[in-house]
Amino acid sequence: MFRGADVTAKLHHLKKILFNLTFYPLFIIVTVGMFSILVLPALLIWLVIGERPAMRITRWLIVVYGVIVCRGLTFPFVKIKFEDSEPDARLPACIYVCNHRSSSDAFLMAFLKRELIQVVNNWPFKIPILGWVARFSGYLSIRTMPFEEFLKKGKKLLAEGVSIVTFPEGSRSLDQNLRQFNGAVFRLAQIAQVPIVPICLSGNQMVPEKGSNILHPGNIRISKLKTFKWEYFKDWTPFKLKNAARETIQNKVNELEPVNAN
Amino acid sequence: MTEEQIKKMVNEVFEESFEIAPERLKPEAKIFDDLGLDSLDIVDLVVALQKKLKVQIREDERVRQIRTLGDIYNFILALKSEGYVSRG
Repeated sequence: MFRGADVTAKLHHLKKILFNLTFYPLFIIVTVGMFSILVLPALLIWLVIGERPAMRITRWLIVVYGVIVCRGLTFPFVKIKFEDSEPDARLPACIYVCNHRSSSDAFLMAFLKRELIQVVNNWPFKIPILGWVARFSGYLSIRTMPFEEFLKKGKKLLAEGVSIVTFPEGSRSLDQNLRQFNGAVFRLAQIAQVPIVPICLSGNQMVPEKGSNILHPGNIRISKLKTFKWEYFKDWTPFKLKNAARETIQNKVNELEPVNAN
Repeated sequence: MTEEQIKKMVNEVFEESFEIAPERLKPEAKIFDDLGLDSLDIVDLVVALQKKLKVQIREDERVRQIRTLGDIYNFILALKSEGYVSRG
């Protein structure tokens, strides 16, 4: 019994070492490679066809890049399952609100497979290549802009058909209990009259763990939960709306991670 | 207006404006971490408190020190003692 558990632990450790040894070099190669190959065509498209098509293409390339990183570079160490509670729903531009477990969260949003931008802190903009591309493709830094400017830019993006992804906890949760939500994006949804779609991430809290760059093998589940339609929440206070979305995601986390649930 | 009346009215603001259950409204409850308000909600809270309690809440060092529900009670009580609260 002990021997079996010992072997399993050693195997897991070996897989973890292999995972990290293969992932990071490939991550750098893919990131630098895609950037080098695509930066010039993107700039040419910008100059020839205009800003909007260049943005659309860049955002879709980010989706492709995200899927390659999450699906391709983590194989066979991480299995990712995307489940959609409304697979047939044709959503207009909307706001996705997601729990924040790990620095891999932003990459996993590629599985939504639509044109989108993310609302981020200021520090991701400082990451070479990733930060430059994020800035170019219109990602919003909520920490550095007044709420009125955020509203204006958010409304413009949504009107253009671009969805917005946010992590309203603001920083990664330490366990399965979600932090309190910031309500800015929920106010935007009410004013712009767009749906809110809760997304629950589970299993990636060790890919990598907060405060570490070590990736652990495992299973990740991305759950796209039931849409909050604007007609449903238009008369709610932003406070009620953000807490309803938070509760929806928390319930899903508790369902998926019942051992530690409070 | 007594201290108890002020506490009751502040609690009513949280119940009516934010639909927070009365059992969560304890003096030690942290406004951000426990009750879940954010900086934009604080603007709504100030407006609701001014309307309910007929007080004028201005930019004040004491406002920046507020962390808990108990701090709000004490702040409103202090305003009252300074004559900023009327029966209205």
